[in-house]
Amino acid sequence: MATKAMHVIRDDANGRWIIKKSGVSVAGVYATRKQATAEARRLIKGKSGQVVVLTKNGRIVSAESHGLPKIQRAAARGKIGSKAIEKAVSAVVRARLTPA
Amino acid sequence: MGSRLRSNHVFINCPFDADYQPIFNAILFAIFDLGFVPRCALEVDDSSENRLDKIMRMIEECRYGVHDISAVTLSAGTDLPRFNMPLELGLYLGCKRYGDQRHHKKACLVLDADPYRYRASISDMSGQDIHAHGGDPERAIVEVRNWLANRSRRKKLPGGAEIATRYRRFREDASRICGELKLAVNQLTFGDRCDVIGFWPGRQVSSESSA
Repeated sequence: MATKAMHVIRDDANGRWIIKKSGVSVAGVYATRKQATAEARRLIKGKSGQVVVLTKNGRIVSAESHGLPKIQRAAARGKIGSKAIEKAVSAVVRARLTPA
Repeated sequence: MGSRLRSNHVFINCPFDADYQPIFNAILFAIFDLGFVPRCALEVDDSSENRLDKIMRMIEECRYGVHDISAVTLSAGTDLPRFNMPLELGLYLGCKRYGDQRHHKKACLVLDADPYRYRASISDMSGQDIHAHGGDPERAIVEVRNWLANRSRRKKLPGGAEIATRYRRFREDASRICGELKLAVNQLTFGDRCDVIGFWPGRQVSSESSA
């Protein structure tokens, strides 16, 4: 079964919040992040995939899995630190979602 | 034996050298993607505790174990075989057999590169169900997934092919993430690798996904 990702990101051109479906097509435009997140959750309901919400600065604020096992917290401690890794992951995701 | 047995922890017993990294990384990713917690000797970073004690504590805590006994060749430097993997497999089987009641629930998957080679190296294992990955990381993912799905009886676990597709995407992104961190992928510690997998939000498999 194909799984989908819904990314909630801010469109800097007009200050609105958009839902990008699997990083490509725009599934909706909303005034607030909260509205866009709620709609992304509704769109993915009953399917398997992920709702990834980014702040206006492009940092991942949440990544919810739907219909898939929840990723568990690791038992091992890293040396780099979760903030630095989160920042690097967010930068890669943002670059993927932002048209060149 | 006083450690708590954790029902979603999976002990990985495998070589950690560069040649084996592709299979180790694939197994690590699959265990996370299936919603389990991977554990292995690499997470031990506290010099105040004896290494073997740490490994035994970890074995006690893990409900599941994935043991790869494919590294049976002689080490280039010493011309001697490495016994760490068979030792840890023996500790795991001993804990299951001789530990208290809760440890009897332990289950382990034994992997090798070839399906019947173990008969020549660990003949006492004859009659056990040994799974072969053929040195192929994606085959290792499928073996681990099918075994964990079967033993845990968890429903709605993604299929092996789906996890393998996600893993290919993860590998592409992992290089970029490491680029942001100004590190090479092989410079990540075990804990850092776990963090990168944990934070990576790429759980879609679809033909319309952007590359």
